[in-house]
Amino acid sequence: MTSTTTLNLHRALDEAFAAAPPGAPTQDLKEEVRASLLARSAALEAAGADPGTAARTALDELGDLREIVATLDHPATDAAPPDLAVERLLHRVRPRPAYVLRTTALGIVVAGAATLLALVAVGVLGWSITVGALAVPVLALGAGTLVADALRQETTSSYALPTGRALGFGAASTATGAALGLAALVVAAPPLTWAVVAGAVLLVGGVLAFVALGTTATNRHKPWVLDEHRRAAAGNRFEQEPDAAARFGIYVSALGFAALLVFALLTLTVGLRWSWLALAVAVPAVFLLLARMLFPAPRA
Amino acid sequence: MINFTDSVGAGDPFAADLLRGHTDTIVLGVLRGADRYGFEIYKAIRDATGGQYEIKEATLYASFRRLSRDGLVEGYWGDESQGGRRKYYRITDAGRAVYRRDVTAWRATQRIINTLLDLEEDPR
Repeated sequence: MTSTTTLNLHRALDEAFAAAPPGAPTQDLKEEVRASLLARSAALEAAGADPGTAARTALDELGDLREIVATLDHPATDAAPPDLAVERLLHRVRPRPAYVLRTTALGIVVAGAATLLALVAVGVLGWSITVGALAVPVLALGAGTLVADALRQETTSSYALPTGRALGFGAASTATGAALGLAALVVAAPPLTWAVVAGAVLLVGGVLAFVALGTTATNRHKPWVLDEHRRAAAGNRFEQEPDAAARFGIYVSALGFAALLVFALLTLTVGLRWSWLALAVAVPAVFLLLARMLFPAPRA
Repeated sequence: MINFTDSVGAGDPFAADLLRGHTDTIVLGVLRGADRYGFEIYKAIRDATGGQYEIKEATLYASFRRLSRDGLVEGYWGDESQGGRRKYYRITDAGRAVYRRDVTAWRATQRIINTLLDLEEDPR
């Protein structure tokens, strides 16, 4: 490409952008248009056009440069925000029939196992190792599968969770469900040391997994929801205030330590049969703490 | 051959209007396969339609700005070439999701329009 051709293109650009507001966006757009013009001109030259004709054709094909410059006067960011209710309706994600059927069937099975264990716990049904061996795994694995499967679904307001995190939540639900099932057996049966220990370990593990997954969650939502969040100036407090996240970690550690102490104390005084109550109190306390710290009440 | 430019009044106004409403989706579709710069995108659209449809570059630049603002594409400057640096555009994950949504919406719209036009052409 000759220098005269290049000069003509640069001159045309300078003239078109002379009236544009000075600043980085203008310069950015100018350089982008310049690169396109030069590329088009080079392509025409390669096809056999002489340099002068190639430059003129490139400029002609680009159209009125003033229209391109005008996009700077009416930036896209000036556009009116979309109606969020309409956006939600437009982008509504309907659940897949296979998922609905799967969840319904699994929900019935899990509810059945939970009912069976509840009846055993209150003494309506007699305890047996067979009931425990069947109902506890069904409750635990069913609950875990339900949770993981649900989190893998795309909804109107969220993308599907990554497989690893969905499995993590599923595993935490399985552990917590198994702990609840074992608690029912402990209440109904003669002191079952193994069930108390296993239940306590599973419950603590499940809660810790929930806390870890919850505090590392990112706010990856669909664009219109992100926009809504931006406008509402809302957000994950732990991302915005790292000190709040640190405080939460310390509180949970202290609470966990206290719960284990009370658990040991109850075991030594009133026995294993009641010691799990310490954990049963600690778990809701952790969730309450999480809710209070993530969504603090507005100050008067 | 009819040339459907995106300018008002050129070619078939109905087709031009219809196509103009999908400029952002068309750009997202072009970017699905590879990162491209402005002129490449223009050429890809023109070549894909055998020259029947060309988006004016002013329209394309406005589209790039909208898509960048919405986080559907990301722009970055490439290497020096032919005396100028090219600004490439890359589709984001959100851009791919919006593209899929728009394609689904287009298919649904196409079905409805086809149905309605068939009714118009074959009145009972």
